[in-house]
Amino acid sequence: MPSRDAILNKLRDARRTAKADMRLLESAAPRPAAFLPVTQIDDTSPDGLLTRFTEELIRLKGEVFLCDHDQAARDQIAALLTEHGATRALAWDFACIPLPALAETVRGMGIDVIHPQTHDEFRAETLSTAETAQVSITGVDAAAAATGTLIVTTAPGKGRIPTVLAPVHIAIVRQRQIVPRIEDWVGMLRADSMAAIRASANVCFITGPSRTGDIEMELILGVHGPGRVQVVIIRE
Amino acid sequence: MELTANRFNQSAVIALEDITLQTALERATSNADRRRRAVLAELDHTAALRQQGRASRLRALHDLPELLEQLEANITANGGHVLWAADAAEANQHVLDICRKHNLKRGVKSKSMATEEIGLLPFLEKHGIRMIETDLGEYIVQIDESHPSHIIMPVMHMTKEQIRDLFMEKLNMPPTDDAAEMTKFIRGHLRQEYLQADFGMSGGNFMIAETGTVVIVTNEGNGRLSTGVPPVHIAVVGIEKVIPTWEDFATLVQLLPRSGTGQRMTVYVNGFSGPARAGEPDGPQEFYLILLDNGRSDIYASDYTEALACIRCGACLNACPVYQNVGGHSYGWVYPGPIGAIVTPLLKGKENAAPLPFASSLCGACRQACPVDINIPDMLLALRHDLQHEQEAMWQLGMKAYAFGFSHPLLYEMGGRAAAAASQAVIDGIGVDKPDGKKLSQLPPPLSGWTQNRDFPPFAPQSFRDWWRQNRGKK
Ligand code: SF4
Repeated sequence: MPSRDAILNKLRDARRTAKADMRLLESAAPRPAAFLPVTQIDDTSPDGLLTRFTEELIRLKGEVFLCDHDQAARDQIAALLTEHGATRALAWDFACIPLPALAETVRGMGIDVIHPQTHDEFRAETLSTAETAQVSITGVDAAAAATGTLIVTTAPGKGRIPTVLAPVHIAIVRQRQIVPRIEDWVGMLRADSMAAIRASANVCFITGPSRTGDIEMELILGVHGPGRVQVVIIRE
Repeated sequence: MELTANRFNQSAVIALEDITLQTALERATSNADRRRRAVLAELDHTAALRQQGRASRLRALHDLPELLEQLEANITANGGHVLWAADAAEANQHVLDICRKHNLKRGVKSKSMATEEIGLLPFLEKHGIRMIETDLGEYIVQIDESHPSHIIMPVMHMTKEQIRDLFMEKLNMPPTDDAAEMTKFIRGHLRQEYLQADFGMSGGNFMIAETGTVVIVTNEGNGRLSTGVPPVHIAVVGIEKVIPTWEDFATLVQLLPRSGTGQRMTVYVNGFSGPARAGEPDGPQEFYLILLDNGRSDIYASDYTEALACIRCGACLNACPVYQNVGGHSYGWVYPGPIGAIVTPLLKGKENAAPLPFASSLCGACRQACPVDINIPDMLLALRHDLQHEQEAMWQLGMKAYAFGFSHPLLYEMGGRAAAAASQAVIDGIGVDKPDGKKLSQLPPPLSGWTQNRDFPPFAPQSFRDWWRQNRGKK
């Protein structure tokens, strides 16, 4: 591996012989015991978090539906599916979505549910069918209130495609999954030596619907990812 | 991409006289800069955060070789492959070798400055490999056969009408003046590309050493589709992008969009820790990271190490009165604006980009805008000094660039805008940036003597000529 060693040696050399700007590099403040979080959040009670998450997501043109119990959430999802005229939906395995009997609700409406698997020989067919789905349904790993962010990792039953391919993404969140900030989620993972990150190939922080400002900075939603993000939150 | 930085003066004059370009630039830069100020003003500890972000970057640079080894070890343990590239040619060759090994013919790509820097697309095309840019702006640039003019907003230089005409001509788009309709058309147009691609490519905004995670940020979702759907993912990332931990990441990933586009978070922040794990239903089965040097280790081993702390947010471009007037293409290479005026001479040779360090009024707006407090003006001055001492002829070229600034009538106008930017910088610095046009009541020395007794009126945020241009049509 000649380039590897050449690059690493050059960097080490630059530091040893102080060809690098050592005054700068040594001026760095030591790693703080606790990092300052970027966002401020005053009310971290469960209801405070719920309110903040809702405000932030709505500001980004996402939508929030609050439900008081599981049946209300299933009814809400059924209403959304009807509104979207859904005949086909992408979804995580229902076992990975924390709402019991959701599979029965969705299938009971005659909706064709796909859990896209792209590692087998049917890949091409799976993708072209998946592309015709009007909505997708997933859970989340956590939600960060201060930025209105959904956090999803991958695992068996939890794919990337249902979070991004369909024009509408319906995400189901239990109120206890809402943390104050992204920093707090990192803190929870740190307590477990970042095991959740190490166990997964992908983590994605999703903050609102897909958007672009490339054409004269005019805000347009849904350019490649979902133009609508609908979060159904079950209160506890 | 071809380097034309030594033609800065000629390109700048053309840009200054291009009314369409001037309109596009003014709309975009002032918008972005205003949004940045607004989202930073809502935090009451911006200064401390900035220093936290800066310290994260500086510690990472201090430990650069060790962090790169740790990153490599973790990505390898995760089942990914790490390749090292001393220069552009080696990086391109790595990509080609991977394509040959897996028989890859069709790629989709998320926006990346590194692949632009190494000229990957023309190289792959020569070898019969088709690669589609999927970021809307980059895709426009690709079908327009031009180059991005901004590191965050690639087609900042184009108006909606120009983009409409391009889509109608190249893609047979039905006529429309509606940006939403145009975007919808492209969504449909690019859909099949994702589904049929046999590999996806990306750059990387951060690489987190402790878990072996490469992070990209995109607003459109094209990054998640490009890296999540195809069976192979190749990322090309500059070696300076490595940071140690997720705490460093949490700070930097939020400073980046606040400074760049005025967003609190980018819509999709996507972290890849190797290929799909056993049992995961989708995602790439092969993951490659190409670590690109291409002159970065030379910058490291120079007086300009600080330039490597840059997180490529684009804030210094939007804030710069020179960039606001001449646009990105004048800088003649991949990285425009104040940071480009440092990085281009360092990566491509000072003699090949001699006018760039002079393309600045040293008003300090860039440093004030920078989320990691990079001392851009001092580095520009030092580069001027180097150029003067290294080569007499170069120095003269530089002086020509400098003199040019005062001879061209449109650049004369910029004097006024530079003063406005500088007074805004002072306002930012002492934290009295209020939209109600407050007076400055406390200036740093040597002006503090003045403000002890009276308020110092900020320069008008708009010069008279700007105001005239905007209002002359109104009754
Ligand atoms: S120099 Fe600073 S402001 Fe400019 S792009 Fe880099 S990080 Fe952003």
